[in-house]
Amino acid sequence: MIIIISFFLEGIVSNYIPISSMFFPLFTLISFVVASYYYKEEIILKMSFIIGLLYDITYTNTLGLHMLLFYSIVYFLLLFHKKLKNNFFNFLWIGIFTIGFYLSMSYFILLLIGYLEFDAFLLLNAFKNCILFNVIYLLVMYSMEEIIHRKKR
Amino acid sequence: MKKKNKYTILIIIGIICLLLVLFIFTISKQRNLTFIEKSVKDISLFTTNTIGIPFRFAKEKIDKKTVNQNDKYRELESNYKEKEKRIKELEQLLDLKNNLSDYTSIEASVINRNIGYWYQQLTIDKGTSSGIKEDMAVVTSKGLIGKIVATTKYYSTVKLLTSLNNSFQISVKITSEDHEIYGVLSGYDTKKQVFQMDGISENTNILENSIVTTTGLDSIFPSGIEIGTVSSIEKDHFDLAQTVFVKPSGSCDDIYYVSVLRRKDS
Repeated sequence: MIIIISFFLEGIVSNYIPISSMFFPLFTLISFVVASYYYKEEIILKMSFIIGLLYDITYTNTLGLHMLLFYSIVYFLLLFHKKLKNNFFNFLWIGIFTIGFYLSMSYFILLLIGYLEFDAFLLLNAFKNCILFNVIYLLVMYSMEEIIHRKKR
Repeated sequence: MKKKNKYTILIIIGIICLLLVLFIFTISKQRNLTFIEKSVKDISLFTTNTIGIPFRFAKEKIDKKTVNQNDKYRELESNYKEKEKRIKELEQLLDLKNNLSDYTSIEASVINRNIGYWYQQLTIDKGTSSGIKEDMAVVTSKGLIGKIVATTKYYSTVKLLTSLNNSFQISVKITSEDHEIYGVLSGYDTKKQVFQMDGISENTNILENSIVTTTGLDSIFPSGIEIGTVSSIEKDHFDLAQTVFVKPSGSCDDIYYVSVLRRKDS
């Protein structure tokens, strides 16, 4: 549910934020960071593939990249969550790492196929624009999931 | 057991390669979306648009509340400024429409912007049912902003000029004093936020602040649409040619409404 909400929210919020501002939303990606801890492995892996496909079709008019990226990111996230304790600081650095991994992987793949030209400034600018807003979103999502799961327990 | 692991690794590598090939095929070629892609995109964007209604309503309310909090004078002043700005925008749009007598415009609202970070695309709420087709030019009151790259029945994707590269170039002319210089906009410098125009002869005299418009020679963009003004000129390493930097007349950052230009005879 949190992933589907984030997927639609990303589309809506993007329309209220200037493209090159410091508040670039990557909500779908961030929702995987939180959901991969709280939900079953199999479901999250399947979801990452399906949402990746939906993301590609709806937002980028391509096929394959987000299916591959989301699936591999969730695979690594599941490994991280097995090794690490559940606290906000662990989520924070995993979140930052995930944003960095997603941006650099997608950038280098687009660079390899000649869609983008190499520009280190572009990549650094992308990190700068994506970190702050998405870390805040991570904090909100993490707090909500913690409250919901504490009540369930 | 070892054999089974080997097969699993091979299958994973195979799937990764397959997805990458699929991605390269779908991104590098200008293609028509398949029926399934169009349907999925329409349903997904319709849901996004419907969920977004309360957000739009809230934004309008907030805007109104801000006006109520000001005193009457400020309100009048802001109204005046807003109207003046609107008239100027409409005048510019009218000028543009007069220049483009062979074209009709289809007005549309933007529903999402540049998702995925690298693609420099907008989605608008008009599609083939409103007469939009691939490669149509998209403008705002400030000038050209991009072209249509994908359409479904109810939505279209606009590729912004800020994604100019070797596969997406525009034929333009600089009107400087009494002569015109023709060239091609071949790239966008994200750091300086200017377009780049290469290969202009060293002997050509170009003045700063000269207006840059489309020529119509590339058969996609109509002639006479403003793109920006010359901000600076640099000579290349061998002093044989000049690179002209063009400051865009409008920002692609914060666009809510656009016009798609359709040829009257199409």
